Amino acid sequence: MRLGLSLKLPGLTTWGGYPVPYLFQNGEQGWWYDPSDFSTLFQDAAGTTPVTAVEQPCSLMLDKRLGLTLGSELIATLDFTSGWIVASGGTNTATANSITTTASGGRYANILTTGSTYVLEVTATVSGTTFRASNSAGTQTTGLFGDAVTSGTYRCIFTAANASLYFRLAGAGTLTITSLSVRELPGNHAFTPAAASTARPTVSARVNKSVNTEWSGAVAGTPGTVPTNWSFVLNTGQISSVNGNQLTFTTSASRIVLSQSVRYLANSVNRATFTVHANSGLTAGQIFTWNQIIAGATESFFANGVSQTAATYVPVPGDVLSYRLTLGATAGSSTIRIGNGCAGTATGVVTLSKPDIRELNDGVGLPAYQRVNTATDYDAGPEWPKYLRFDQSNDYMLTNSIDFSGTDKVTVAAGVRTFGANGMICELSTDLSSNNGTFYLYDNNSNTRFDYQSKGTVSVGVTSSRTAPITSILTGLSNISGDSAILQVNGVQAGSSTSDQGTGNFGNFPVYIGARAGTSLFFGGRLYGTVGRGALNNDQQNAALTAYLNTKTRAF
Amino acid sequence: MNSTQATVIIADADKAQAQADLSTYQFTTPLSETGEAPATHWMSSGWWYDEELDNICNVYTWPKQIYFGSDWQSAIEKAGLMVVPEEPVVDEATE
Repeated sequence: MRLGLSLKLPGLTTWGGYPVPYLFQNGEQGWWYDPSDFSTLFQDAAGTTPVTAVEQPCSLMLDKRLGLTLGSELIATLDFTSGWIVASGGTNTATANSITTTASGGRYANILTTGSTYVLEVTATVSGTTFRASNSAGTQTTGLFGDAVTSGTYRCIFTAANASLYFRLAGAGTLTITSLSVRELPGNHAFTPAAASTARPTVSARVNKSVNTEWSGAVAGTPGTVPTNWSFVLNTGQISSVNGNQLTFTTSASRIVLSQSVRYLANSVNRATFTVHANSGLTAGQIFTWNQIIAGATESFFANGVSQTAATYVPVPGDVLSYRLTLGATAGSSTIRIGNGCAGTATGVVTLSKPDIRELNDGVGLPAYQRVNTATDYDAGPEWPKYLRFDQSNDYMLTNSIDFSGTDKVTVAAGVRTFGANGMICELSTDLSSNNGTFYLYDNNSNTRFDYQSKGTVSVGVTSSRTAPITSILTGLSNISGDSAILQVNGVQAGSSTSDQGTGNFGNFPVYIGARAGTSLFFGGRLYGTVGRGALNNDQQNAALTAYLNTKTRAF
Repeated sequence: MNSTQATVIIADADKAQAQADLSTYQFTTPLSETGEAPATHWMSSGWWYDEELDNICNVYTWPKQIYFGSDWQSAIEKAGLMVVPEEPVVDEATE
C-alpha cells in the first residue's frame, strides 16, 4: 500500500504524507534513516562528498527524525580580533577576517557541544602556506576537510569531540576567511569510522543480475561481434541484426549462442526473462537455456507466466519467456545461454531483447525489466527501491550514543532483504549479552529465522522463521516494565513474549547497523530504511510505519 | 576522495604489519583453504580510497592478492580460499 497525502491517523494531530516525523513529535529519541534520499547520504564520514548516484559507497547517513533543520549560527560575526584565542608558539596578527601567523593559528573556544553534530562551511584564501580546520588540540590533528588545505570553499559534517573549533596554518602565512558558518545538525547520524574505508556499504537499486542487457558492442556479421560482457559459446551462425535493444540471430544448419555467467544465492528462486520479437518457428529450447546448473538446482520454463515445455513450445512475437532456476543449499554460478541453436543445430531467425535475471521474490510490483548497461549504469529511477548493500564481509555503520535512558519502551523497524547469513541488522550497544538496556534485530541464518531480543536486565527473545533470500519489514517492540517483547514481520505479529525482562530503562549506547560492534556478525543483505523510536508504537502507528517502510522496500 | 571496489587478501603472517600500515579495521575476515579455523589468510573487501590502493600496490611490501570489483566471493574462489564462519555468539534466550 502506498501512503497518500491525505491519510490521518488516530492520535496524530497533523499529517504530512509520511508518518515518521509524527512518531517523534513528543521529543522521542531514535533515528530515521532513508537510503532513498540521496540528500542524506555521503561517501565519506566527514560529509564532504555527497552520494549522487547508485553504486557509490555510503559512509554517512543523516538522521531525518528531526527534519535536518540546521541550528543557529554559532559564530554570528566573524572577528579574529575578538573571541579568538591565539595558539601559543607562533606570532599572530589579526584583522576581523584574517590571521597572519609565523606557524600557528588559534581557536574559537567553547562554541561546540561534545557529541553533537555540526555543519562547517568555510570559504578561505590562504597565502604562503596551507591550513587545516580541526576539532582537536594539536597542530597535527586530522583536518576536518583535509590536512593541507589551499584556498577554496569547503563543507563538512562532523561530530564534536572537543568544544573548540581550530584553524591552523602549516607555516608562515595569512589565512583570510571570507565566509564562515558553523551550525548544529541535530540528529543521531550513522557513519563508518574514517579509517574503515572498506566498511562502507554501497548505495544500490540493482535487481537485474545480468549486465549489458541492451547489447552494447554487438555488431552484425558472420558470426558478428559479441556484445560486451557476453561470450560466444557457439558461433557458426550469425548475428544478423542489431536494432536498438533487439538482437537477431540467424542460422542455417548452424548455431549462434551467447552466454553470461551469474552468481546465485543458496535457496534462491531465480527468474531469467527475455522478450521475443520475431521467431521463424524455433522452439524455446533452441532460443534459451541454462548451462552449468548448480548442484541441487532445478529449472522450469514459462511463457507469459504459464508453465510450458521448452523443447516443444514455439514462441511468437510478444512472448516473454521465463526460465526459473531454483537452488538448493548450494550457492554458485550458472550460465544463461540465448541465441539460436542452444539445443543443437538449427535453421531459422529469432529476435530477442531485454534479458533480466533476478530473484523471483525480489520486490513486489517492480517493473519486469531493468536495463543494466554496466555495474554503475542501470535503471535506477523512482520505480526502483534504493537500498544500502551490506557485503557480509565487513560493512557496517554506527551512531554516536543514543540516549534511551529515559524510557523502557522502544520500537525498532527495518526494511531489509537478507541474503542468508548470520548477521546483525541493528543492535543497541556493542553486545546485548554484556550490556543491560539493549535490543537487537538479528538475521539468524543458523536457525533460519529472524530474532528480536529485548533486555532490561534479563534478555528475552522472539523469533520468526524465514527462508532467505527474502525481503521483509521487521518491527521489534519492547516494554521492559510491561514484560512484553513482540516481533512483527510485514506488519503481522510473528512472535511475542511476556517473560520478565528484568528492570531498568534502555541505555545510552551507539546503535550498530550491519554488524555487532563493527567487528563480527556482518550482515549480508540490503537495508531499505530503518526507524527506531524510544516509545512503543500503537497499532495505528505501527501500521503506518510498516506501510511507509514498504513503499521503500516493496516487501509485500 | 575517489574510491575503488576491490578485495585484498593477505597471509596470516602479514596481518599485523598490514593492519599497522592501514588500520585495524582492515583484514578482519578470516579465510582458509577448507573454511575451517585457524585462519591462514585475511580479507578486506569493499571501497578502498584510491590512495590506500596505491600504497597497497606500490608501497607496502607484504605479499597480497588484489581482485578488483565488488564480488569478493569470486575473488576468494580464485584464491582457493573460503571464509571461516564466525560462531554466532548471540544471546540465545529466545523462546
